[in-house]
Amino acid sequence: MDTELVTKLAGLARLELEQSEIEKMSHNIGAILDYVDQVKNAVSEINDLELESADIRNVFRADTDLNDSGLHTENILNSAPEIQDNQIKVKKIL
Amino acid sequence: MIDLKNLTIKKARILLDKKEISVKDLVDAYLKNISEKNSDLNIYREVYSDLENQIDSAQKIIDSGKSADLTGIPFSIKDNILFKGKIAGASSKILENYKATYNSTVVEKMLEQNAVILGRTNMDEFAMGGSTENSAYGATKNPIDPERVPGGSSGGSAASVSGEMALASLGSDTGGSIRQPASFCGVVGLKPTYGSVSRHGLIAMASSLDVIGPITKNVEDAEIVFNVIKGKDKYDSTSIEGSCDRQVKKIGVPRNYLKGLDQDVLDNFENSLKRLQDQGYEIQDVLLPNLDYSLAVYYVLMPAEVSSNMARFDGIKYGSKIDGDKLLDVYLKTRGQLIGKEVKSRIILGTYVLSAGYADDYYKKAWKVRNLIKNEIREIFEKVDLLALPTSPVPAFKIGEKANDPIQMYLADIFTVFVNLAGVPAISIPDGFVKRENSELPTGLELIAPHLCEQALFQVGKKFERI
Repeated sequence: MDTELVTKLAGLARLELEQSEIEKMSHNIGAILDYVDQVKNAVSEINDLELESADIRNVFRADTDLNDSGLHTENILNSAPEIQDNQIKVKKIL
Repeated sequence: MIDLKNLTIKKARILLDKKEISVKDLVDAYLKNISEKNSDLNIYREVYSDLENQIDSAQKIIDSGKSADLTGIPFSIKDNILFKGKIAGASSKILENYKATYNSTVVEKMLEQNAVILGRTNMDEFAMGGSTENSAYGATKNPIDPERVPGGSSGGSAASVSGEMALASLGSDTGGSIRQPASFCGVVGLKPTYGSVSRHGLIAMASSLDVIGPITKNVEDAEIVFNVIKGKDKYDSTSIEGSCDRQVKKIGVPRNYLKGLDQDVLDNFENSLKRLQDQGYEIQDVLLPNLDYSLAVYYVLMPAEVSSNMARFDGIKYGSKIDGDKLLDVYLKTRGQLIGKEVKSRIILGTYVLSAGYADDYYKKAWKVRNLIKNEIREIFEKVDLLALPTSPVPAFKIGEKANDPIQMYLADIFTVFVNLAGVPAISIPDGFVKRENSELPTGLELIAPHLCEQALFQVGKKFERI
């Protein structure tokens, strides 16, 4: 994986990387991709549909309140690095 | 003076209930070891300062004659398991000051029984690693040989039990992170069936693979802890309940997969098979051709899930933050500077295998091969009752030895990752020692059972370790 691609992926993943990190990752991730490339060789004789659906299903809960409104608000707000007037504070985006 | 070396949960229960020792005596014995050894071995990230309350309430229950299995038993927990009001940092700078706002289900169940939770243990950052060297707070040293790693990612948990700094511990296992450190530290580690223990309150790494399990001194203790923490949980929709009633007769060995391991580790394994045979189990070779793909499949699916799970750490909702001019800068700087290099590397790899144009070749293909492996394992358990392998191809390696070679590091998980891909339970049991320089290093026997058949692992494991 070349350094340009690492830089692009880092941007998508919201990671600011130093040049030395990018170079090291380019080498290491390349080695890992060479290794995992063998999954492409695995022969699948089982039909694709059967595989896609095996064991996997969505589980939903009823759309009702799990707890009284406001019960956890203070705790959760206190976890945020910056709060103001009972709200989590972020930079202006517009 | 309590003989901690030979103490088990079962024995401690008897001593506590007969009032031969108090909860405080027991906790103090562990705290003494922690204060003597922790600054050198770096096993605990934090020992909780308010243990008195836990000790008092446990003692009151015992005095009233109503003790449960874990009442007054001193535990450590991995730094990714939430305990309300305490820091849960996943050994990462990005969660350095994060205090849990609720209890994980496993902690809730332990507290219901008045177990004493001493503190949280060091781990590879966000459970990504096999040596505990990836902690943002420095490597943990193996109590058996401090020049060596304790394994990982639950390295602190395994080392705390091995070093007599807790009677038992809870770790988490995504690709071997309970079994491999247990094997490196000479203790027992159980990776339960996927979903049999609730993941509610476990900081997620790869959600389709993660499971919480016990690290203990012997198999019976692992059984006791598992029976307390297991069960369906309304807060985890993937949790399941159930059991199986399998009398073990045949144990299968996938010999086609026994490659690339140290000769003396293999010798110990062959010797373990003989011991099992002497106890009346039939050892049978089995062929599992798709296991050869398991590590490659794991290193596609796991990073894909990691990249999704790690998206929540953005410096806004919780944890630490590095400020920037614009919102995007806050994200980039916080994540870039506060997340460690192994975790960042896996996020990038995951982002790549999920990206348009590559998802078909990597992610979707790996998902299919995972199902092939699942099916292969399911079918083999129609022919044999358990599978056996060495837990790790090598004993504990030296700190720094594999740090610059990701593939070598990943290969240490070769006998454990397919178990997570299949979702079945497995246990690592100490089965001997190998000599490296001046150290006698433990090795582990890994026994693997069908879904929800932990009972079969305990049945054979207890007989195996008795000799």
